[in-house]
Amino acid sequence: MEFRSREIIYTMSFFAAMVVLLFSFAFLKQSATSNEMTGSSENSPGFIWVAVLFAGTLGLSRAFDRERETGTMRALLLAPIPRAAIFLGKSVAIAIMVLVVQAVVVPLVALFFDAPLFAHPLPLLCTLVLGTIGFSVVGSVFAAMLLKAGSRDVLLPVVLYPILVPLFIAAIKATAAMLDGSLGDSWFWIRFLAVYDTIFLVAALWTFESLVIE
Amino acid sequence: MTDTSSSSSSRSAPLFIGAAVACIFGFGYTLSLIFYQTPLAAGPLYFNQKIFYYHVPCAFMLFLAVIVCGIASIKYLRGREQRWDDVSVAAAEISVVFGTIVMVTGVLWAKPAWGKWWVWDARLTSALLLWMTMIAYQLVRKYGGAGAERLASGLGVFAMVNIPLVYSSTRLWKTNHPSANTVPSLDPSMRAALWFSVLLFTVFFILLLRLRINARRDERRLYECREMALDAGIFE
Amino acid sequence: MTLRVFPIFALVLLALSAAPTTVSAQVKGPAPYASEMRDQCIAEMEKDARILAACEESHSSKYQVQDAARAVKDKQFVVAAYAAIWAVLAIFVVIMWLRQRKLSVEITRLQGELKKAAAE
Repeated sequence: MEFRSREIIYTMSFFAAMVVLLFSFAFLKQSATSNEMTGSSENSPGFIWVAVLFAGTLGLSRAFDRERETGTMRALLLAPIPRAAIFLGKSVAIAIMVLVVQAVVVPLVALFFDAPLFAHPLPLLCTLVLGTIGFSVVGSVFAAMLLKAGSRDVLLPVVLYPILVPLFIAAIKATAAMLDGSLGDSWFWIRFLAVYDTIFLVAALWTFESLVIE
Repeated sequence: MTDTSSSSSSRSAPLFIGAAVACIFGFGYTLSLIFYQTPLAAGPLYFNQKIFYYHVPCAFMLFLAVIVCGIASIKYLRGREQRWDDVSVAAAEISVVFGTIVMVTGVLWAKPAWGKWWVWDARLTSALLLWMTMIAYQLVRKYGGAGAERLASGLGVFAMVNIPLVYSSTRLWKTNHPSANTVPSLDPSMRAALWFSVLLFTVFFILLLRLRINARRDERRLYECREMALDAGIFE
Repeated sequence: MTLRVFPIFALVLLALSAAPTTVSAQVKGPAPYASEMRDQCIAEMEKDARILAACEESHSSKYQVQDAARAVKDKQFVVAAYAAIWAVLAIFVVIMWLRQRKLSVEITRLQGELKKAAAE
């Protein structure tokens, strides 16, 4: 199992790096004065979180694919473990994977787009961690539900992204506020993220049992 | 075997016909209220403000339908009773219909009011997101394969829980402070028309919901009949 | 000691802040606005032909015609909006009705066949 999760993490991180690279090609402009391509740090929060979202979705479907193939989900459900523990275990695993991806993406974006992302490390860390928690909680619920579905690869984003929009907005605004230097705004959005995480963690724990029961 | 002669919708046919007739008269009355009894609005809107009398009730119905879908989904997930699944599916479909109306009329209202077809306003954005989530619900039910009801119910619950979060995040998206109210406070002479419209659309919504739930029941009954026919060896 | 002084201090401040309002209540309402500068301004403006022309133009029918034309053009949106609402609702009701009819026909047909098969 550990070997497979390493495979997933490597492929997720590479995919995220490719997405950031594609964004560079899309959004870097030739500067007026010199003959180089420069990027503005304006849109960099968007790039980070879009790359994380895409890579995270891939990782989610891959991670639960593995469960489906080996049938471990059924075994886990039959075992006398509280359902919540199964769910939280999966979420934590996915959260770790997404955090690794973020560790790759954030420095890349800071490098390519010349964005002073590391100026305020504490808000940055809070945003990344809270965003990851929200993503993995909501993502685990839907990915677990989609285990048996037919067109599950495309259905997961279809179902997941509308629910994740407030998380996305909050994470981007928090990061952007950090870049601007307005830390008060940043902490506001971080608190919003915390509220979002709490609400959906509670909702997920409530519904997980009934959703995965055969 | 189930009762053969009547389908479920004809059981309380007088009630449905009565409600439908009331709705038709209601729509006529709203037209007279809106176009003859409310004053012309000020500002760049003038006549176009009249769209508002149908747009707002439809938006209310969108939210109401999503909440009904969410609650029915919770009940379905608790007890796995088919009837709550019926309610949830019906409410989701109706929410897509009203969502479409809200989007179309909103855009047509926005152009004369603000000069642009689309504005990233909190209400518009959160209505758009809710509409897309309900469309995702429909897609999941169609293409989700075997466990589709559970998945869709989960989605319904999460969509309902998400409403306040989406609204607050899109409202605060532009600035950190609540933006100025884009809809000015209402002239009292316009309120009667608006509240009557809301009442009318609520009755219409309940009627549509009931009809759609009955249709779902018939669909399931058809499925059962087909199963029985296959068992009895009748080739279809 | 400060705990006892503070309420007294606050009351004194309150009394002092109330004083101006009580004093000013005795004054009559605001005097009519009159100023030399205003009269001078009006006189100067009337001498300037361009300002007079601008005033005339803003009262002319040009802008009113523009506004009216735009209001008439915008009326199309209202018609379109209501048409869209009716169309969407009507399409939905018609689809439901057709679906229901098809269902009822299928159900009665199948139940008839089942009866026949049971009778055999």
